[in-house]
Amino acid sequence: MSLLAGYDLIFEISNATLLKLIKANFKIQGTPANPPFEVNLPITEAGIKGMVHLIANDMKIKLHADDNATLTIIFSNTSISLTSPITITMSKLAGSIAIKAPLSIVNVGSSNKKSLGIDLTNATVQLTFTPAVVTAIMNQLGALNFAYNQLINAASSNLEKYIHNMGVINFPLGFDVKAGVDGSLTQFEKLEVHCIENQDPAKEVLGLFGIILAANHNSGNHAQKTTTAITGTHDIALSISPEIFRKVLLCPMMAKFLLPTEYSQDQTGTINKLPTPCGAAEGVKTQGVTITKMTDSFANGHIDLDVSCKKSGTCYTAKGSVHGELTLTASGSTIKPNITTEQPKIDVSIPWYCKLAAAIGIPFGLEITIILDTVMDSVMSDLADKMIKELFATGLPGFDTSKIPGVAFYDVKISQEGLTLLGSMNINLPDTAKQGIKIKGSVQTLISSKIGTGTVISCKNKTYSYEEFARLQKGTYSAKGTLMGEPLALKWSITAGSVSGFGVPMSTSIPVSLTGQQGTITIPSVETYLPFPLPGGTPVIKDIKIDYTISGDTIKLLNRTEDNNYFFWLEVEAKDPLNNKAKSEIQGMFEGDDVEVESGYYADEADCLDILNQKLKELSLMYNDPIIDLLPRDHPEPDQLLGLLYQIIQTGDPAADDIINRLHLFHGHSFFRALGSTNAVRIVSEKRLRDFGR
Amino acid sequence: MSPQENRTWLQIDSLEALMSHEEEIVARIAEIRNGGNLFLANPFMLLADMGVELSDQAKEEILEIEPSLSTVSKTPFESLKSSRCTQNIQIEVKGLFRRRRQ
Repeated sequence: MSLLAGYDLIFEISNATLLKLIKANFKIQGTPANPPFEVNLPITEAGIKGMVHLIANDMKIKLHADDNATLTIIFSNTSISLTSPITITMSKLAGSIAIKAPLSIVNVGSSNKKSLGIDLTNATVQLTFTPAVVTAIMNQLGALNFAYNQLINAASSNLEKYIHNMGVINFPLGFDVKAGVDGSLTQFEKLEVHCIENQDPAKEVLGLFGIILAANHNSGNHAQKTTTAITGTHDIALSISPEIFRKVLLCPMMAKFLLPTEYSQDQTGTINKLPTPCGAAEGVKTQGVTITKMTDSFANGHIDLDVSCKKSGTCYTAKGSVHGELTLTASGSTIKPNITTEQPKIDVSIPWYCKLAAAIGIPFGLEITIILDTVMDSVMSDLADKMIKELFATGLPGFDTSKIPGVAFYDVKISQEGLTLLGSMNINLPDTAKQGIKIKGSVQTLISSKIGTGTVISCKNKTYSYEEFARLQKGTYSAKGTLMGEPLALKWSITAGSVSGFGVPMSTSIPVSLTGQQGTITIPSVETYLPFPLPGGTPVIKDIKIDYTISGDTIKLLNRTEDNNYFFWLEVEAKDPLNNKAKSEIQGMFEGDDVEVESGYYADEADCLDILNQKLKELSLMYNDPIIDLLPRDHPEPDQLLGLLYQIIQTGDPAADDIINRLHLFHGHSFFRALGSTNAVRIVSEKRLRDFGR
Repeated sequence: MSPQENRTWLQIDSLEALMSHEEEIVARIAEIRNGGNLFLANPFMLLADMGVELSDQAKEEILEIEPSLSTVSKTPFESLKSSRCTQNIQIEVKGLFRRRRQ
C-alpha cells in the first residue's frame, strides 16, 4: 500500500463523482445521459429497420484494474418498433447496456493541453434483456416466425456502431503536460490515468497520476497504489509528495516572500539565492537575521520545519535554530496553517567579555520564531490558491465552463509519504426530465372570405368603413410524451368558452371526447364572441361544431365560421404500456368572424388615448412621463396588451370603459389572445406584485 | 562541573598571568555544561569553581577594565549551576577579558 506509488502527485476521483462527471458530460443524441432520460435510436442493420425508444432509469460505472471502465445503462419501459422485414412493436422492455471502454489522457486543443477522456471508438457494447423480457420478445417474434437472435444481433450491432461513432468523450478537467520540463501543480511533466479497482464501489477510484519534476520522469509504479486516499464522506483526494511540497510549493513561495523583487524578475534564479535545501546560497537575510537553512520533513499528522539563522552584534555572533510543527486545516478554498514552535536553541559567540545586557538580552530567539511563523504563514496562505484555483479552475476550449467542477477541500492529512487534501467536487448536473405529456400546436387560417361591409364611428365622431370576414381555421396539435413507454394510448377531449379579463376560463362548456380517427363533435352552450355591434361586440351563447381527424399522436381541428369567435381547451390523457398516466391541456382560439376597419379609425383611437394620457398627467403632475402608450396594431405581445388594459383600468377614469371597448376592435385578434394568454397573465401579475413591493 | 572543582588548578597573581592561560581556560569553559552562560553570569565564581584562584591584585586589574563586574549578582550563577538542563541560548566564550580598557 502506497500513497503516491512513486509519483509526484495523485488526484483521486471517487466512483460516484466520476459517474457524476459522466452524467454531466456524456450525451446521447444531444441528450445528457443523466437518468432518467430517453432517446430514440434507429435500427438499420442486416435488412432490419425500426426504432428503439430507450428510457434509461439508472447508470452505474465499474472501474477495472486494466484502466477500462464499464458504464452500465439500466433501462425499462423501453420499446422496439420494427417496420421491416416485419411490422411489430415490442413494449415494456427492461434490461441494460454495458459499455466497456478505456479511460485515458487525451489531447484537447493542442498537444500540451490534456484532459481526462473515455475512448468509445472500440468500446465493447453488451445489450442484455431481463429473462422475462427475453421470453416475451421470443413469444411475440415467434408468432411471426422471426428469430430472436436475428433481432438482438441487429440491435446490438447497431448500438455498438452508434457508441463507436461517439468517439472520445472528454471531461472538463484540463491539464497542461510538457514532457522534459519541470512543471507545477498546473503543469505536469507526465500524466497517466489509472483505475484502483475494488469490489466495494465506495472504495473504487480513478486516479490521475502525475510526474511534475523532469528528474522523476521514470519514477512511479501505479500498481503499488492499491487503496484510495479518499476517506469518510469526501469524494476527491489530492496527494503530493514531500519533494513536491518543498520544490513546488515551499521554496518558490519562500523566495517570493523573502525576495519579492528578485522573484518577480527571475523565479528560478531567486530560488537559487535561498539557502539549502531550496538553493545554493549560504543564507538569505530578512529582518536583520540571516536564514542559513530551512528544512521540512513529513511526519504523521504534521510537517516538521527547522529554521537555522545567524545574527551578529557589536560584541557577539549568534547562531540559532527553531523547530516548528506545521499542521493544516482546510475549509472550502481556504487552507489554514497552524505552526507550533519550540523554544529556539541559540549559540552566542563572544570574543571577549561583553556587557551582560548585550549578551543576555539578545532577542534572537524571538526573532527566529517570528520569522518561521511569518514565512510559513505567507507560504501556506498561498497553498489554497495553488491547489485549487490553478489546478482546477482552468477551463478548456470547447467545454461548457458551467460544467467545470467547483473543488473544495475540507480535510488535510499528513503522513511521512505526503500531504493529502480531501474534499469534494460540486458538479452541475443537467436537469432531468419528468414523466408527463405535453401538447404543442397552433391555429392557422385556411380560408378568409369577405362576407359584409359597413361603417363605424370613431371616438372622434368620424365615420370609417369596415369589412367583415368569415375565417375557416385549422388547429393542428401533437401530443408528445416524456419518459413514457410506447405506444401511448391517447384520449382527446375538448371544452370551449370565453375567458375572464385575465386569462382565466370564465364560461366553459362541458368536456366532449374526440373518439375514433375522425368525426364532428357538438359542444353545447358555448359562450362565443361576435364583433358586432362595433366596436365592443357582444357575447353569444350557442352550440358549436368542430370537425376533427386523429392520426397517431396528432389531432387536427376545424372550426365552423358561423360559430363566431371562441376559446377552446384541448386536453389529452396518455397511458403507456406500463399503465403510467399523464394529462396535458392547451388553450386555443378559433376566430370564425373578424372585422377590419380603415386605418384612419385606428389613428383616431390613438389620439383619444393620448387625450386621456394628457388628462392623467395633469392630474398626477407627472408631466414628463408617458403614463399610457397605445400599442401599435402590429400584433403586440399579449403581456404588453394586458399591461395596457391594466393601466387604463387603474386610471379609474370614466372614459376607461369606452377606451377598452374600442380596443376590442383596435387590436382584434391580439386583444383576445392577450385575454386568453395565461403566460401574459402571469407576467402582468408578477409586474403588479413588484409594483406593490411584494 | 569539571573534576577540578574546589581544587586549585591555577594560581593567578595578575591579569597578564590570567591572559597567558586564556586559551586553556576558554577551552575548559567550553567543556562545562552551560559554561559560557556561567561565565557571563559571574566570571569570578566560575573561575573559582574551575580551580583558578585569582589574587586580589588580579581581581583589581580585571575590575579596572570591566568595572561592571564589581556589582554582579551571585543568584543567576547559582541558578544556572544548579540547573541540569542545557540552555536554549548556548554561549560560546571565545576570550576572557580585554587586555586593557578601551
